Amino acid sequence: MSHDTTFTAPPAEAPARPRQVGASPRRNEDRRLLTGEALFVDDVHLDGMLHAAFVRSDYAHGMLKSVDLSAAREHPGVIAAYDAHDLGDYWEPGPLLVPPPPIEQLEFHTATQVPLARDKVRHVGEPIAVIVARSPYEAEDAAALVEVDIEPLEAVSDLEGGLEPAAPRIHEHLESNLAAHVIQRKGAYEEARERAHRVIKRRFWYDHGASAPMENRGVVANWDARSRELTVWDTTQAPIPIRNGLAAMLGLPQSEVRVIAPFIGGGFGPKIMMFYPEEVLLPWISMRLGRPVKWIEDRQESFFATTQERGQDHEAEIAVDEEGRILGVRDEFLTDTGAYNPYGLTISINTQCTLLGPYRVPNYHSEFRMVFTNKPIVTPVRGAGRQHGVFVMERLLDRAADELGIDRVEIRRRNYLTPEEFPHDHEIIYQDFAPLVYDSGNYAEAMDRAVEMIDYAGFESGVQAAARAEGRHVGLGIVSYVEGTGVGPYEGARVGIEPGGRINLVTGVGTQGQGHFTSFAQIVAEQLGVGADDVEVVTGDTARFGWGTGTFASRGAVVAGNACHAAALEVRQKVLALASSVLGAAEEDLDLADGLVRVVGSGESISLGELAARANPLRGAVTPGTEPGLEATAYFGPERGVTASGVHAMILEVDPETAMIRILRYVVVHDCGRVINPMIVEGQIHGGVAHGIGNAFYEELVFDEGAQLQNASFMDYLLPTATDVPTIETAHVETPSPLNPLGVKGVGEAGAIPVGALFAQAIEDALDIDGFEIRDIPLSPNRLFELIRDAREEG
Amino acid sequence: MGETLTIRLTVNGKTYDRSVEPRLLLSDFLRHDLHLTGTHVGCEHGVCGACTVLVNGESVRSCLMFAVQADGTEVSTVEGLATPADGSGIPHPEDADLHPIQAAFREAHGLQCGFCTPGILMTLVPFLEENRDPDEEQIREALSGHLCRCTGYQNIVKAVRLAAERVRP
Amino acid sequence: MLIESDFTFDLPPEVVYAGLLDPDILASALPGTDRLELTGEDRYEGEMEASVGPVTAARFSVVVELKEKVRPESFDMHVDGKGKAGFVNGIAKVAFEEADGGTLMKYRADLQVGGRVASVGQRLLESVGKMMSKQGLEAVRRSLMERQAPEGAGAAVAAGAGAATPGGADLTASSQARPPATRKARLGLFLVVAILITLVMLMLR
Repeated sequence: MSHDTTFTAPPAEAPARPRQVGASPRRNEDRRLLTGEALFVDDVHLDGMLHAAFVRSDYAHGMLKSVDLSAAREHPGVIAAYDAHDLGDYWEPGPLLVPPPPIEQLEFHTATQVPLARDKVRHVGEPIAVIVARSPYEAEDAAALVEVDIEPLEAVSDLEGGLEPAAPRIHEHLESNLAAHVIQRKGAYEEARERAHRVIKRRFWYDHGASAPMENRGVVANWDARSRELTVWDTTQAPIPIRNGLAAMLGLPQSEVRVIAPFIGGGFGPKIMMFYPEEVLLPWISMRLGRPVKWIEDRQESFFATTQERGQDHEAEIAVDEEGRILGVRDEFLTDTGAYNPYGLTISINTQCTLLGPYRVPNYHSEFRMVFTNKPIVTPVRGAGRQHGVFVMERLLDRAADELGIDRVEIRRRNYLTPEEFPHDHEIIYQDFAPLVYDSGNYAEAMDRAVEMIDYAGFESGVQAAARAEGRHVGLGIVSYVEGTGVGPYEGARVGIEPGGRINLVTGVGTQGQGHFTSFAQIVAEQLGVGADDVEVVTGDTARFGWGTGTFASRGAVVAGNACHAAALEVRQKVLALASSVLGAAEEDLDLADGLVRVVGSGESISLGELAARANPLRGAVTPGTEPGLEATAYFGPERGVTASGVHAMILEVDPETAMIRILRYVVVHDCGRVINPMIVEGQIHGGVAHGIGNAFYEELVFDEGAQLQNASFMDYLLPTATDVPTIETAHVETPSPLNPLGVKGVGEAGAIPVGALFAQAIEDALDIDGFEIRDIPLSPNRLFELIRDAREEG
Repeated sequence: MGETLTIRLTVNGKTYDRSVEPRLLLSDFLRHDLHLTGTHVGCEHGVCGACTVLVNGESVRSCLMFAVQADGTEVSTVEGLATPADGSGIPHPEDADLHPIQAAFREAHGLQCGFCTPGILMTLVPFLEENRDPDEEQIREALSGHLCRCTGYQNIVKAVRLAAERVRP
Repeated sequence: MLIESDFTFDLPPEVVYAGLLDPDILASALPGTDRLELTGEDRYEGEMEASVGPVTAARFSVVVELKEKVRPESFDMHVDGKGKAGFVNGIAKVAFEEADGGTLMKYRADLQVGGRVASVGQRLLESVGKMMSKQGLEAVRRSLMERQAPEGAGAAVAAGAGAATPGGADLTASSQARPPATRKARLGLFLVVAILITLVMLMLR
């Protein structure tokens, strides 16, 4: 059943030396991770280090009447305790990270998180006070002694209800709980609707969940007054913006603040959020007390205190002609932003744009209202709203196929953009503020591959019929999606060759397990004629590289990767120039391989290390105007994002009596442009699909009507395990992106995006009950059982 | 700190005598008292398996056990799996110094962020000793007490098979 | 959150109503209660401790007020409890009606539960809760039936009911030494426990 992937051969112009890009060397970072040597934030230990614990709100909405820290302060081991009033001028709401893009007539209201709640609490888990003690146990003991008086207010937990005039208002400075109202249009949908053969309308609910990385968040801050350096170890996906922000907040020059994102135990989005209250407070406390201080989130805390992604309520319709060609789509949705909206419109605009998928949609009306609720803050989680859009579009196409009697693969093929139509302008604005223009793709080819791999043609009469004969319910799902990846603004990298021959690569992006230590090394190794394991990579330390934004939106390989490439090219040029003069040969006659520069045909050579030593002489004269060393720094900023795409197909079995499912096969055909490291790309897809399966069938954040989360533990919030996730068969289509020199596209989120839509289609196909439709995700055995029962009762 | 108890235990072959609070978790003891930070804590309620160590050769979740309960035992953590380095600081190019399971994880890309990995390795060590030739179902069953958010488990399964092939006589 | 449930006694409403207000009988059914004081007419303040799954020995301070008392038909109970592990507040309406010579006690509570109790205790509260509420009401029923029996018999019932939950036996034992005023206050708390717990059962769809 397992199916080994075949990859498109490297480009024909590949040089004779072994290629680095496109190969799958063992990862450089693995030895440290496998032996327990890798440093994670909670592994940081400093002499005299104190520990912080937070007192958090049990109420989703309420007036904060008083906070009594006296008993906590008396507790043995407690060094300090602070509430909002103790912060003085340092108390300030966080920044609006992503201002709204330039969309006409857009309405946007913002309210951002605060370091400690002052007059009001707006979600369960909102921090109210912080206790600092000698040990984490003592800090938590003392936190339990803090007396908090909250006068409960009615909570907003529901999107429609939150917009009603009588709804309790969450933010007093705003007129209502409406956070945004955005309309994007293309063509004239109403006219298209008039012309349509069929208009199909449905209401959909898509709820996303927790990112749940295995490592919770954590911060260690250490202010050293004598060296005037604040060092912050932070589980962040964006160390440089954190450094810049902290310096500004604390009134320090950026040169005195060093933020280190060491090994991070997974991020999946919420670790990009800035500035979490804990990130703002720990450095302040360390400066105040003159001692290092550590805070490590626990799992239960993370369900409230770490951001999550949640529900959207869509009313959508599709207008099609007799052949199933899309004339237009109209979608109106409500989207939950939680108690604050520091991330602006990113998720909802991703939904709005990704809904269009790989299809030609001449007329589009998309309108959303973003609503404040008394739930934890919403920011992107792997997929970042794209799932929601894909679900709506794929479900509408499935319904159109049903109604028109067209095969579901065929209706997709009829609507795919063809390779000749690129670049394709969708005439709306994407989350990166640029117009939504697809760079390249070959959607039909991906579909053909998937159809072949899963044996779509033979399924109905073969596997499905055989199963039916045995009374089993087996179904197939097959869906398409695109993913805007690799958005700007920019990243940078510095490549240098040391006199000993070591190659250093430093980049500003943090890393959470995507294999950057290896894939970036491959990019550099390719240009310098060394092995990937000869390149030592440093990421996520602002003292080593101070420019950049972070790892998000599947952009690491695209944006930072191309910066590495650019820096490596410059160093290569310096190597060639110097070697040419040392060896007395023309640059064109030189070849870089095995750590040496060779003169082709003569056997003469010099090592990179020796060249580096010559480039940095201790005596003698250097040509005026030249730079010492073999080092270069380069930046890459794409004009806009690149569009990855793919097709997922699955065969699953449903037991209609228990509503349990079993995945029999899972196929992914993916196009992320040129593949730097196939092993890593596949790993990203596997992980994404597992996350998607969790989102589709196991994971759900359950809130009651008082906005209290009911399942804040891994006993109740179910992540898929090794027995839930099938073997995933992968294949690749490579349409290199014309927008960057490496031709790469992002892949980090791809696996997770279409899984909900896929599940829905496959389950419907398996059950084949008249009128049975899946319009909500996540499902669960319970939910599916109810849907089956209802459909049978109606039927 | 409240009352303390004195315990003696062996961790990765080294004997430690320590005074600890009765409520100190074994995971916190290993990480913060002994500074063996390779054992990770992911959920503090025994679900994720990241904190798995061996106590007298058996896999246990160190977040569900108090340090005092480990008094008199032999504990093994991920730090004890590889052959101690020769002091040169240069890793063996073929990973021959790693435990076969560690080497197989690297070869099969059985880890991404690596946070859950130490715990998984500590479950697999006794598993592979007892199951020399496990099939996929057995492997998945053995892994089902661990959560991994990065890999989708597929390459972990692959790594276990690879390791089983390597250690088989 | 809405909780509705009922319990049948083989005694007429008048006897049940009076019995539920009789502290000696109610004392038999209350594990986990610590300090309790009658601080006003039909107003009780106190502390209780409950272990529910991963939420171990969570302490709650509780204020309970009985209002709208219509003997022997109904009363309303206003509950406001909070502690390290979360909070519960709301109103429980308790009604009694005759049914085949016995009494059908119905209660309907509209409660808000929050914090750790709500977020991680749910699933385990269900089984603990089922056991505790049933045992509690059974104990009340037995005490009512045995009300003519000597003092010692009631205490034995109490120990039996309390032993099933951690800390229960201890607290029941110590309650022997408490003055009657404290015991009287247990009426409200008994129902708080029962409701808190029933609520979780119903919450799970």
